[in-house]
Amino acid sequence: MSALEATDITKVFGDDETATIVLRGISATIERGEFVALVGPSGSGKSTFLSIAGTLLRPTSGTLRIVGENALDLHERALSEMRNRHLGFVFQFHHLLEDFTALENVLMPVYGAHVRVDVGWHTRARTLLERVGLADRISFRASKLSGGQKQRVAVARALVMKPELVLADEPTGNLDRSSSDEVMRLLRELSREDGTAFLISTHDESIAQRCDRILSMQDGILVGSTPRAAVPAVPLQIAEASG
Amino acid sequence: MVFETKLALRYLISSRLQTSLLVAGVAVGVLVFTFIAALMNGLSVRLTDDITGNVAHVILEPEPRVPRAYMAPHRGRALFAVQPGHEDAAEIRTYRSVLELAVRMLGVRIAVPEVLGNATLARGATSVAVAVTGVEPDQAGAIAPIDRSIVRGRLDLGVGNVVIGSTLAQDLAVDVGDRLVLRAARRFGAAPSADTIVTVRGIFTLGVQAVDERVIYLELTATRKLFDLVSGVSQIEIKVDDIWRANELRDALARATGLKTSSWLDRNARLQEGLRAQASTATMIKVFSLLTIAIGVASTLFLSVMRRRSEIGILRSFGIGRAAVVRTFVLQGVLIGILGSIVGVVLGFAFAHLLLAISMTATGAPSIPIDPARGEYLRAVVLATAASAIAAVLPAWSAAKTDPLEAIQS
Repeated sequence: MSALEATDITKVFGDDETATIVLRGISATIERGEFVALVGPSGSGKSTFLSIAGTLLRPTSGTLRIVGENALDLHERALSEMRNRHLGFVFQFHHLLEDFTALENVLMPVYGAHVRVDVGWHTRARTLLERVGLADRISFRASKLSGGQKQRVAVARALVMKPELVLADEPTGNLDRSSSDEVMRLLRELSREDGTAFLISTHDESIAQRCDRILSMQDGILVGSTPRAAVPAVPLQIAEASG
Repeated sequence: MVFETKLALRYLISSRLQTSLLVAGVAVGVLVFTFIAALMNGLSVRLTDDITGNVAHVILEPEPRVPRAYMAPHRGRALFAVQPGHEDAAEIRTYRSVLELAVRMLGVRIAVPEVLGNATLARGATSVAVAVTGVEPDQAGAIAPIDRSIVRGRLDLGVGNVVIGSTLAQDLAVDVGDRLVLRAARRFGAAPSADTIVTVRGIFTLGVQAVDERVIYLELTATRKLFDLVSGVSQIEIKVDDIWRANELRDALARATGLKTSSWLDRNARLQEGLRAQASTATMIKVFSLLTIAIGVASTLFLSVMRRRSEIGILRSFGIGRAAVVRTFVLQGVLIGILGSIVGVVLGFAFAHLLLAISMTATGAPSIPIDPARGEYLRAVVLATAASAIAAVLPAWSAAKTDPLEAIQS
């Protein structure tokens, strides 16, 4: 069962004369444990596709399966539960809750899962923070952490519920080069260890080059799906699948 | 709820200044609420105590005598005549059984038989019209607190003794031990009554002008003899435990005895109107203070929602539902309400006591009729917390409607 199966996804903003077509029949599959980059120029529809894949935005048409479950059939509460159970998010801006500690921030999705936040969850959150190199910052308030540290907390938070798929929108867009490399190394490592699939939207070619596969988008169309070794300097002009 | 409570508490603690101002706002609202309650309730109690403290709460009287018709009505005219004699003096002859019945009734504190009549009290050439109240000596202070109002002499209603008001004593220039002539007033045409010599044994100041200048107390049997009553009494005065249930007891007594009954409320309709108007004013002020609390809480929480929209968005993206977001913000309203109202109640109680202390006069009665015990503190806490919680619903709903994507992108 694939982590993500998107078929013929279209997204139109506005209606009639003001209608703007942002996605034009995107079809893509991401297998479990796959580490995939989503590249394309600004306005190509990367973020919109990522939002739809994360069930934060409903497509105008198409089907979306998350771990085999049709996400578009679900109502609001079930969708929330699905996001909580199967998906993790890392954003360009960390969006941590500044008044809470690093540990509490990592545990936020667990609170949302309506489960008892017992010692087991605390241990997992601590382990994740240790793995992202923040063992000595566990009890620090988010407001006291540096930008890179915050983003690493956000990575740990995305992984705490052991999701099948993590969607990362420019996860290093706000970091300097060394922090950026560090975060990418971490994502890659965690993907390998936990078998979590990653779909990473990025402008950064060097980041894309670290992924197993690169999906290229242009003007709302998926113009290429290339294994890392075969990625050309110019994105392919062949749609992988279009409606 | 653990998560929501934790989140709500953290939000409140992290914005200390904002939370402190909010709590202060609620506290001031509650302070106004409790102050108005203590003042208005105190005033109301003082007014009713002043009135009901000196009078009977329920009075039982014989039905007024209807003049006998001596000729059948003819062409709209009728001939009535009233015969002089004992029958003219309305009395409750079976008063002992009425008394027994009354004192057994739930809520009746005491029932006092009285003989009333008009008389003239004279000393030398000076005579004054007085209202005579004949009571059993041990019940003299049961209705009006005459026993506690004696300023000279003592409350001694032995044979030939009389206790009179201080203004009356002044008018007649008499003091304790002086002798006076008492003469019952008779209806026009009736034979004049014999003079009775009485000795002043006590002088009281009740503080009610009409009583102090006109009322004298005499022993019951002597008064009955003075006014030619056979064996009954003029009326039975009753004090009840709960003055606001006087009308219920009035009706019950009327049904049980068949006598004419009236309550202190019947005789003080204006006071009732005044108290109602006063209560309405107090309610309006209390409602406005609660509205102020609600508006303050709602506006501040709206600002908090605006400020934390991206955080709320991210929580929503993790699967934290709308209901949990609503609970988080309503809980903040509840916590602010509880904290603010507790502070307000403490301040209100202290303020009422302070006002009471500084307004205390030399007589021991405060010039401001505030009663700190009647500040409706529990009600203030409940209502202020409820107002605060209800006020939080709109901002909470606005927070719950946050689109996670929009919040994250912003």
